Amino acid sequence: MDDAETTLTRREVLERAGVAAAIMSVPAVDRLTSAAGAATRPARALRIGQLLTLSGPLGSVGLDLQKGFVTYVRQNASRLGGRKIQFFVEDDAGDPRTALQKAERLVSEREVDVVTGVVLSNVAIALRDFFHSAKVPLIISNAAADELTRGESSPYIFRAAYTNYMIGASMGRWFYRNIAKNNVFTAAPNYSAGQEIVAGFITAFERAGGKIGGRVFPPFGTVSDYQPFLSQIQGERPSAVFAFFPGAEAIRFVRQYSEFGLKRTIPLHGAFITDPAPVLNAQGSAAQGIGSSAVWAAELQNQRNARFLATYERLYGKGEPSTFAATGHNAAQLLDVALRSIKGDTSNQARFLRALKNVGTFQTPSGIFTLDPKTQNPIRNFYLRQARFEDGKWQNKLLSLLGSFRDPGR
Amino acid sequence: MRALAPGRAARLVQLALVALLAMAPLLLGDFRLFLLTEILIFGLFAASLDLLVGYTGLLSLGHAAYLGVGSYATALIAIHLTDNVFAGIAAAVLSSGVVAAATGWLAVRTRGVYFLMLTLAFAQLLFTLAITWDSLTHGANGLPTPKPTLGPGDGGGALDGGTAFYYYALVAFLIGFGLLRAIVASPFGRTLVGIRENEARMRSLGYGVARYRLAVFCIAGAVAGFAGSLTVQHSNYMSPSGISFEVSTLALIAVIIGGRATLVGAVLGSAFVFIIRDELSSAFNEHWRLVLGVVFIGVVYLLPRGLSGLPARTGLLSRRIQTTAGGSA
Amino acid sequence: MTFAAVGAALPGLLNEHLVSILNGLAVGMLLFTMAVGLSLIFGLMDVLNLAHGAIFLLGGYVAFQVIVGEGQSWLAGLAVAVGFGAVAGLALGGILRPIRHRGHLDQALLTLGLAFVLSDLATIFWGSDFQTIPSPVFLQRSVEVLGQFYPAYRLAVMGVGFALAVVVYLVVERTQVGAVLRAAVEDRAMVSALGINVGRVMLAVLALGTALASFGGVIGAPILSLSPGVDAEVLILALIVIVIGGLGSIPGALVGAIVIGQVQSLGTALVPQVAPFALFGAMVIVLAVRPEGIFGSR
Repeated sequence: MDDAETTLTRREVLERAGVAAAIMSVPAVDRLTSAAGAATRPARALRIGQLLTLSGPLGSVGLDLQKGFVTYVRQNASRLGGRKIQFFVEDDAGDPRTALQKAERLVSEREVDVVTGVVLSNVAIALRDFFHSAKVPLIISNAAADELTRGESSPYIFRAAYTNYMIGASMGRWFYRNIAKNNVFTAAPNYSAGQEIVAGFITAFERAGGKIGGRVFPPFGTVSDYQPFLSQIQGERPSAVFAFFPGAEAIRFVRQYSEFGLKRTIPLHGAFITDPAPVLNAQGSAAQGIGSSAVWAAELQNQRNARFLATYERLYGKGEPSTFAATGHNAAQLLDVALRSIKGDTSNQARFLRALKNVGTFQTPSGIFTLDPKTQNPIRNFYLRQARFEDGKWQNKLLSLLGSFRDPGR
Repeated sequence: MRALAPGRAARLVQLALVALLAMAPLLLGDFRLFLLTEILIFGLFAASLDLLVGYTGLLSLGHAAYLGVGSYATALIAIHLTDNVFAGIAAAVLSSGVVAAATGWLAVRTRGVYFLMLTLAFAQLLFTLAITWDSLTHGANGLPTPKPTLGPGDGGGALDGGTAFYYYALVAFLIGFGLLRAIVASPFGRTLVGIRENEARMRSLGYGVARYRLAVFCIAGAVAGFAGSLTVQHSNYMSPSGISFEVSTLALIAVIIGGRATLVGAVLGSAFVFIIRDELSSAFNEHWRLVLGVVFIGVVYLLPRGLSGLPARTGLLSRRIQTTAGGSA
Repeated sequence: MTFAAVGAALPGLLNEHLVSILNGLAVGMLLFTMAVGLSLIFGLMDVLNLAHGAIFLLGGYVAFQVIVGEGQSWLAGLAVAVGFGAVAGLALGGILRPIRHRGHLDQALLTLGLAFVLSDLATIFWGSDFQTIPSPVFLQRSVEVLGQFYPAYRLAVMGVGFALAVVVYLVVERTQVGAVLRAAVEDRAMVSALGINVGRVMLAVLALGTALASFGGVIGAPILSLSPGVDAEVLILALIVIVIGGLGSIPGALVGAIVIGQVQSLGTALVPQVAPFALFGAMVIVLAVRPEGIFGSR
């Protein structure tokens, strides 16, 4: 077909352009290859697509993922796996269909070697078939839909963050041991992520021996006022509440939970309800004492975290990174470790995929991190943090390690 | 009112445009072709909205509802019954037409802002239904669907690859668009314009205004459903965000930017919106909404007849139906 | 079920949900505060200001800047935001002026474009993170009402909303200024003949309407918090309120706000299953019965 021919020639042209770019930066490439001791000299910079939600209400999440990724890259002399890199950033505006267009552009026009990012679960699910048939690896650094690690998994899809199941499950045993054993209520918005996180929590909580009293699922996105749901919870007199709410909903739920007096008698803990910092700031004293799980905390004492924090501050100024910045950082490191194992040579894609799949265990700012080769999803630490007012500002302070968690897979 | 036959120049321009579209796969790379396919499909959707906004003076802020119904119908047929494109399209057109009739029955009794808000309400109710009816729609996570096929039964004549799908979408677009043009040029279409311009007069002439309104609402809904079907067949995915407020708003903006009551303007406007969002987004980062807003304001100020009014000004294209700028709000 | 049985069941039901009813009023008055400016501009000028939500959001951000950023008092923040809103209204008047002779549709569309621009400008200045204005210190507590804790700030919002309703109603319906306003709408030429500058009167209405939008942003911020997306949320809520009540009618906006407040609060408490559909479902039902809203006349 004509189509195939034109594509080919276009590809050649682009390849030549890539070579030209590499020649212009020969000294850098030289130093790098000799340092890495590579036999083959990479022909061009590694092309990394970043598909992120950068506009709209979730814009800050996408931005944080990107900042974390860039921080890792800058910590490593702007290289991954010894190769120079080139970024192509696209904003999906939080919409799956737009994301598909942008993915098409990254793959067919920018000819990227790998794509990272993805904020939203529905965007990730929409992209799944695309990356599967385009045969380009996608490293997800946030979107947590369970099914991409279960029935809808793909050899081309890797995760550097977590699944919703893991987020919920991380709180189960701790909740049973430290908060309440019976008649615990759950509250989460009635959409996929809310249901999956609650399901994860209940699985782990019941496995520990706990009993659930009831579940409350306020509608997603259409509620600005939780009073009727809070009255319902109050009427049932549960011993404690586990909750998950994203962004603006977290602010409203946690504040109203306190304002309507529930916090005085019914302990509230959960996942992502006091994150990230702007959410916690908006909640203020209403969040005091709330425990929640996260895959990273600023106070983690390890060398890598110290470097991460220092570089992040140098690049973006004061202000603590969010946990999203940490998972963005994880994504970059996962890619780097995999690339190093093949000396940055992605010319053989099957080998590149094997390297990603078998990237194994490594130390990250968030502690030890293993990519489970069965699910291509991390086995990683979750930490308990508590919202407190310290040093003149509201912070989620690290309390303890909740344990290491994985997704059961299919 | 004179219904002018399209002038010779206009016919030449049309032919040239269709020829250009037919040759597009030779001229464009994979991504641009993908984008063009999206523009054609969204353009058909926007053109169906133009039938309401431009020709009938009914400002709908919830047209995505019918696009969404068509999308879900196609997605569900593809998952549970057959990948065949025609089955998907039939289901989409039928179901969106029925839903348009059920909701339009109520909506066409209202005017102006009330109509605007009722259409918005129906779209939001369907949006919420799509999110909450998890067993059918798979909730907010959405439904991935199999690749469509042209042949009978599953797997035969798969529409694989960008070029094959582009030609399929182009033919579908031309059929849908041709249908809309035929409707607009028919006595029915001229009655609609008459109702828009002077409802009382049409009423006194014995036209059943409400019936006409309902009929055009159903037609617009069915064509939107058709576009919805194509959308799913192209992206192989449907989720509630396909019914969102933003989709309805963008279609409305496309109609206004392109030029009301021209049909072709809606397609041009769609191209414009997509290009601003997807091509300029690298230049303006995530601030494409700002750019779109500025352009939109500029068009409302300077080009009340939209982009497609430009050639009319220079006499290149003769308008089939001369329209005044403002419908009734 | 007999009437007696219903009668016997009703007080119990109401007792159980008294807090929800009270809260419905509070939410309703917040909605009224959000919607009154939109209603006023539409009622007196026939302009559907789709930038209303964006001005609401910007007003909130301006007050946030003054109160949180500069550490000034709450009242100072409110005053600056209201002033900002009024200036925005004057600017809007200038922007609408060249197309005054065109249809309502073009004017509404222009404000839609403005809404896009303004909300993106807000993101450029204040980012896409959540910002919130803490409620005034003396209202940062919960009081016991009917045996349950209830946030004092919401009680205050209820009072402010009612006061606003009374003031706006009196100004428009009972004062000379209002008489001129209404007359200017009815018969422009006549009012001009009286030596009154109609253009200036209209500009004043716009400024008042947008100042109220901005005022709503400040009052609403402690409950809703500020972020991109809130503008569209508020615009849609405000539109629902004024459409249910009947466009342009101030009493209509009040009734619409209270109805929606109760639907969202008491309705959700009684039948939580339909909560996600309640907001738009209520509007569809009202418009099915009365296609021009409860107080609609045209």
